Amino acid sequence: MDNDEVLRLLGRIERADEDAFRELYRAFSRKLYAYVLRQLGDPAQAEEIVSDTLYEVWRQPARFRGDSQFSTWLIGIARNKVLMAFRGRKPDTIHDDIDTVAETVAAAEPSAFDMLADRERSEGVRHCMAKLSNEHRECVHLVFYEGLSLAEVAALQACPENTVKTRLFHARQKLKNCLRLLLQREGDTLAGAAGAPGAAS
Amino acid sequence: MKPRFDELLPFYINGTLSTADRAWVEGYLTEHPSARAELQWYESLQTRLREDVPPVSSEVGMERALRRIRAERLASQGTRRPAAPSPLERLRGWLVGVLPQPMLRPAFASAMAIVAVQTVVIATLVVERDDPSEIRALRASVVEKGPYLKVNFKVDARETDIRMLLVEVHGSLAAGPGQLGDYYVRVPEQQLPASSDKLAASAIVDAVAVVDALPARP
Repeated sequence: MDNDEVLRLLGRIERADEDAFRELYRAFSRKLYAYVLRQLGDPAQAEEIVSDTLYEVWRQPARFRGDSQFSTWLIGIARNKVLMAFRGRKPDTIHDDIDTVAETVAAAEPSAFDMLADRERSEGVRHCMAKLSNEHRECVHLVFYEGLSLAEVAALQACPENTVKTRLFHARQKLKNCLRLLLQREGDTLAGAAGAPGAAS
Repeated sequence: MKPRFDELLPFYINGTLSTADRAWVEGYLTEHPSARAELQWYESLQTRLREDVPPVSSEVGMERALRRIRAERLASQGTRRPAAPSPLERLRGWLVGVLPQPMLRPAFASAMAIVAVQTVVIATLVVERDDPSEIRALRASVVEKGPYLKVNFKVDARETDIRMLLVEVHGSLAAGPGQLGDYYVRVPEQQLPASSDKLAASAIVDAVAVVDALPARP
């Protein structure tokens, strides 16, 4: 849905038109949900934040003036709610393992990229994305899922463009290493299964 | 060369690079065929991420939002966003129309509209002098049974902030401030706990209590 159509619907929402709200909701909820779920990993919390974010649109439709893509603007609202949700959580430590690994296997021979591109699967990518830090994961999502430009990501993450570049670089290293570990583990399991007594029968 | 390639590549993949940067990346890929492996890896990553769409309905959370909208409507009893413009909006629109400076029109028109409304309010106050009593600033506009919220604001709380806070909690001033600084706020009964919590959490509020009725007038 383009911004012109969004602005038309917002004009109707301004006049308390519930049908227009439903239409707008259906058009953007899944993308917004994908962003929030990727950040929080909790479906119930993601549903709540999507609902709250779009309810804010209902309350103040005139706040969107068409200066950016509506979906990007929505993510900006949802992002604040996600940050509030993070505040209520314990600092997580799940990133430690791949942080360490990133230092040890960062030397990237080109063949490693080939091998990963051929073999990685969505589950593996999801698993490794979940192990990134919040900022790194968000950055990767905004660039590769939402297709945002460098300036848009920097504006959303409220940081300089160079910080976005650095986050992407480190995220790439960590993802790559995590995926390599997964594939190695998978290979070991398969090799183990093949070598186990009775495996051939 | 390589650091620039690393920086630009993600945005080359997602199609947001300028034409010049795009051409630079393509030139680099031609000169360094081995870098194509990174390109493929990023493309693969993008494909996997986009495949990984959560299996939810497009109405996820919609019912919750609609419930809030209906509750809000009930609370405001249809006063939200009237279809016809209010007198203030009409006055503002007229002023915007007659002012010559396009840049200053909205601000000037808003200021003039506020001045006009304030003039009416002051004139009304001059004509209808209030009786000296414990409750001086406002009389109860609607005399109804409680419960009410008795609120004490901090000494340095500004009137604007108080008014904004009352709007946020869907409250209307029923009476006050009394000589002890008590304000009596009426809120929709079903929202009483939520409004009370919100007021108590505000930085400009000293105390909130639920009371059954307004104080008796002397």
